[in-house]
Amino acid sequence: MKHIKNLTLVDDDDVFVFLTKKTIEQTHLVDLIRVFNNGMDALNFLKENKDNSAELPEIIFLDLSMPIMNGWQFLEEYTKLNPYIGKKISIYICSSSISQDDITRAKAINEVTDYIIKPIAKTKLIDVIKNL
Amino acid sequence: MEKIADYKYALDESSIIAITDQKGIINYVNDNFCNISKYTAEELIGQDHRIINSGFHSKTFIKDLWKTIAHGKVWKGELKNKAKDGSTYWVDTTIVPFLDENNKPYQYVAIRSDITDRKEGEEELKKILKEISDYKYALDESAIVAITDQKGIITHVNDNFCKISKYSTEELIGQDHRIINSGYHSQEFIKELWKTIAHGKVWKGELKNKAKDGSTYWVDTTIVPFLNQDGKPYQYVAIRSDITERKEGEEELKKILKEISDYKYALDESAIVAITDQKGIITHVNDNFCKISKYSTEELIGQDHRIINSGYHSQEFIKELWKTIAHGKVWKGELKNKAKDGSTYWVDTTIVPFLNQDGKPYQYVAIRSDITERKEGEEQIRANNIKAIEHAQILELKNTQLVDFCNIVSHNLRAPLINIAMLVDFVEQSEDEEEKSEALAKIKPVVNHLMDVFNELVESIQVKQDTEVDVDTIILEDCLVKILRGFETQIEEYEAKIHIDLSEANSIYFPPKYIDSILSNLISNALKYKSPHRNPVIHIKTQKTEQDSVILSVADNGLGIDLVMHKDQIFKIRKTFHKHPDAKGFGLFMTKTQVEAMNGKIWAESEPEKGTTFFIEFKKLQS
Repeated sequence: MKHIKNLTLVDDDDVFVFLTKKTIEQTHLVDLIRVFNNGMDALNFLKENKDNSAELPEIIFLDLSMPIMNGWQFLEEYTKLNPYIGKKISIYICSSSISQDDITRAKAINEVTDYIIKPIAKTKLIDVIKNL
Repeated sequence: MEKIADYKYALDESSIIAITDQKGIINYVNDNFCNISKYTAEELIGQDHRIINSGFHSKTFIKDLWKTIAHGKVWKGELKNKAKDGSTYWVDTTIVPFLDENNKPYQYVAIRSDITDRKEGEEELKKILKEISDYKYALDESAIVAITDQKGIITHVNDNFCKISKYSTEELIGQDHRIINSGYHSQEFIKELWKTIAHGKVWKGELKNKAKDGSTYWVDTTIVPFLNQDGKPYQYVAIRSDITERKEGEEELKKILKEISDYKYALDESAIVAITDQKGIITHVNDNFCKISKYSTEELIGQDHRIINSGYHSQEFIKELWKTIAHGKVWKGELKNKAKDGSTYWVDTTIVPFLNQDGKPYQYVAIRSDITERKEGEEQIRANNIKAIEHAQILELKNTQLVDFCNIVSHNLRAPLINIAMLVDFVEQSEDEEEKSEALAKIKPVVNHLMDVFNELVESIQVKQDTEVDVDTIILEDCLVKILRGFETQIEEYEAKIHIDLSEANSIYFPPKYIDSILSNLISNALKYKSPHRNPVIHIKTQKTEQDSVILSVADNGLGIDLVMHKDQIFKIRKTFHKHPDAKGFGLFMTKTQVEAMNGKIWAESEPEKGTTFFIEFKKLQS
C-alpha cells in the first residue's frame, strides 16, 4: 500500500475539513494533513517551502469557493509558481459546484489532476491516495 | 453772186467754220471758231488742225475721217475737240473737200455746230444708266428679285429667285405671285402687307415661302411699289434674301426654349424648387415650396435660406454642404427643414450651383422632394430598434441575474446540504461516541448557516420581484444624517471623519427602504474594513451626469480590495475579501440587487492599503 507523507486541504468549510480529516486519518495512509482556510494562506506556505521538499504535499484537495483567494485564483498563481517547486504535486479540485462550466474550466488546467464533486465518498478518497 | 454772199454770211453767223489746206494747215477760222476754241484767229492761222485734237477719238476713227475727205467725199460726224484752256467741247461736224481740176482736194471746209450740252447730257445719262445697271447686276447677283404688276402677276424673276423657288423663269412669268405662298402666315398678315404696298409704301418683313417641291424657305423681304404719275403703283419689286438658316435656328431655339419651359413647368409641378443667390438669399420659390414651408412667396423672397433651418443637422454637415456647392459641385442629401409653424419636414434635396464665366456659383437651385413620411417611418423604426435593444439589454441583465441565482443555489445551498448529509453519514457509521457527538454538534451551525443563506436569497428574490416597491423623492442629506446616527458609536470609537458634499445633487427618486439599506451597507463596509494604521476618513459625494443621472460615491481610506484578483467576485453572494469576523459576503450582493432593480449601476475602484470607492449611478426617474 502506498504511503503518503503529506496531504493538504485548502477549504474554508469547517464541516468538510473535519469530516475529510477524520476519514483520511482512519485510513492510516497519510502521515500529515495540513489545512488552509483560503487560497492565499496555502499559496504563501508553498512559496515559503518551495525548496523544502519534505514539507511540500504530494496531494492537494482544493475547494473553489473561498474568501480572500478562491480556488481559481490559487490555480492561476500556482501555475506561475509550479516550475520553481521541486516536487510533483497532484491537485484535486473538491467542490460542491455541479456547474459544467466549472468542470470544463478545471479540466483545461494542466496542474489539475481531477475534479471531484462533493460529497466525497470514503472509497473515492482511498482510491485517489492509493492511485497516486 | 449776191445770194451766195448772203449764204456765207448766214453760215458765218450760225456755224463754226474753219478752212484748212489739203495738209490740214488752218488758213481760215471765223469768230465762232475762235469763241469756242478760245484761241485768237492769229494763233490759229498757219497751225496744223490737230491743235484742237482732244485725243478722245480712236486712231481708226480719225483715219476713217481722213480717208473719206481725202477721197473728195463729205464727212459728217460728232467730234470732241480741245480748247486752248484744256477744256473740251463737242461739235457736230461736216467737212466738205474743195476739189481742183484733177478732182483732188485742195482745201477742206469744216462746218461745225456746238453740241457740247447735248453730248454732256448724253454722257451723264450713260453714266447713270451704267450705275443703274451696276446696281441691278449687284442686286441680281446678291438678292432674290421678282417684279409683279399691280395685280400680283409675276413679270420678272432673277436667277436667285428661280434657284430658291426651284421654278424655272418660264414657269413663273405670268403666274400669280401666290404660287410661292406657303400658307404659313395669317390672312391678317398678308392683308396688312398688300394694304401697305397698295398705298405706295415700302413693306419690309420676313416671309415663309414654298418652293416647287413643297419645301419651305424664309426670306427677308422688301417690297417696293413703283408708282405712275397718278401716284398709283403699276408694279411691285420684291427684293428678298434667304434667311432660312437663321429662321430655322430661331425656330430650333424657340423649340428648345419651349422644351426648357416645359421642363421648368414639370419641375415646378412635381418638385419643391427654390433659388438662392451665392450668399443664400432666396430669390425664387415655387408653389410647392410655399406649401410645404407654410410661408408665402413674399415672406420668403429676400430672406436668408436659414429661415427653414431646423437646427437638426450638425454644423459639420451644413459646412460640408456649403463647401460642396461653393466649389461648384452638385450636393445631394436628405435635409430636415422647419416650416413657419415650427413643424418639421424631411426633403430629399439636390442643390445645383449655376456658374458664371469664371466658374464661380452665382446662384443655387435647390430641388427637393418631400420624404417626411419615409423619414418618420425610418425614425419610428430606429426608435423601435433602440427600444428593442433596451429590452434586449434588460433581458440580458435579467438572464445574468438568473444565471447568478442558479449559481447561488448550486454553490451556496448545495454546500451546506452536503455538509449535513456527510455529517449524518459520519454519525451513522461512527462507532465512537465522542466522535458522534462531535459531528452532531457540527450539524446545528450548518443548519443555521443554511437558514441564513436561504433567508438572504428570499430577501433578494423579493427585491427582484418587488416591481411595485414604493418610490419617493429622497433628500440624501436627511437620509445620511439618520443613517450616520446609527453608526455613532463606531464613528466615535474609530475617531472616523465623515465628509459630505451634496452640492451637485441632493435629491434622488428611489425606494426609501432600498436607499437606507444601500447607504448603511456602504458606510458599514467603509468602517468595518478600516486600515489598522489610520483613522477612517470617508467622503460621501454626489455628481450629476449629462443624462441627468446622479452618481453617489462613498470613498474610504481603508484596507482596499485587490480588484485584479476579485473583479468578478466583488458583488457576488457569500464572497468575502477580508478576514473579518463579521464578513458574510451578503451586503454588496444585496446592494447590487437593489440598485439594479431600479435600473441603476454599481461599480468600485480600489487599491489594497489605499482604500475603496463605491459608485452608484441612480438613473433619472420621473417623479
